[in-house]
Amino acid sequence: MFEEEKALVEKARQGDLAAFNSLISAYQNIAYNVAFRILGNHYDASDAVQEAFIKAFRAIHKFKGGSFKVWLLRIVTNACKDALRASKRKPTVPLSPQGRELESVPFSVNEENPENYAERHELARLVQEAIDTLPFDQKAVIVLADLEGLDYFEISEALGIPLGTVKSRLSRARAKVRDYLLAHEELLPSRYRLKP
Amino acid sequence: MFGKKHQKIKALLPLYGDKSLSSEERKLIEEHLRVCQECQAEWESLRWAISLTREIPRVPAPRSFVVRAADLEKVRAPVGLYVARAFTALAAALFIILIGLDLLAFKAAPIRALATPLPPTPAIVRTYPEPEQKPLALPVSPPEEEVMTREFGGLEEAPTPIPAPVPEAERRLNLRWLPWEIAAGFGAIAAGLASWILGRRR
Repeated sequence: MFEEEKALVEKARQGDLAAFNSLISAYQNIAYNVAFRILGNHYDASDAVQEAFIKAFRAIHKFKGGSFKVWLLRIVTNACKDALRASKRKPTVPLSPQGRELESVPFSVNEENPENYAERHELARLVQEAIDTLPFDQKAVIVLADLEGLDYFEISEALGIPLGTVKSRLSRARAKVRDYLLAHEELLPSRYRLKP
Repeated sequence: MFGKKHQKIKALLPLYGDKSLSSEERKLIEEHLRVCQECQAEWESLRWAISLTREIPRVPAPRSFVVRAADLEKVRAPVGLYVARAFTALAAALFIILIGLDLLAFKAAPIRALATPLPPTPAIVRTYPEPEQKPLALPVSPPEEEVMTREFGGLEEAPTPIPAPVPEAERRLNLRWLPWEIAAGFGAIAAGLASWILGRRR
């Protein structure tokens, strides 16, 4: 797998767009999920991912080896940062929090029973609201750590920050998310509450 | 009861479950948790929140994000942006050149009488005349060399005495192109603002 990826990277560096597209097809779901959780809505996340992939192709000659996934996630998180800045400059009417998850998680792809799906949907909505309250730096760290499962070293590389900063941001982000969930615990389905 | 150590552990607690945490830090937390009920409760709530965060479903990408050749064509910036940027650079360069020339002229110029104190006015002479002094009379024409010195120094009135050499510290910067410098400076600022506004609109 790694060798195959390396060969595709080499082709992409020489301007082979097809090779680059094969490369990103393996990571587009991860990239989209990161962008969606950081930005909180489908439209901005789609734009950010597309923008990031275009930038990645233009900058692939700068890729100096290591994990392509981490390198790509760095570009995606930067695109999210730019999108957040742009949305601050040109504020738009946000979609209702209830609408965001329904829009992005179609029922057809879900195979669990409707009751479980609805409960998980409620949970996702509340967790997303908690993440939305965080500043960008903490959002990026918690999304990469807890939703994408990256370790501290990978996060440090993806965000270009020291290891100690990763730890302190993650610690603060988790504590804030916990506080938010505790404050809104009654909105969670009973099986997800701290004391059911 | 635990003071600083308690605070340190409390800051580390949200990371307790992570594999990336160092073994020393994990050991420190474990030892503290055995004896601190407050931190035990804190860890319980954190563990609950972290597990809920990790449980939320992944969202499928709504479409493919493959890059097409058309996506790689650069979006052309408005012509006005290029014009404003060029004008900014030009005006800024002109401003710097003019200021630079003034500074060079100041450095290279000999000590001039520009900063010489003004000659005593006739009014002062009239107000405090010395009784025994002779009435003011035009001085005898100075030698040609002295006249040249005074003219070079910008003195206009012949009757004033030849000024003493001016110390270097009293030299003044003569901004010969001041109106142009002001125009170039303001032009650069205005064009810079225009480029910034046009750049933001893209």
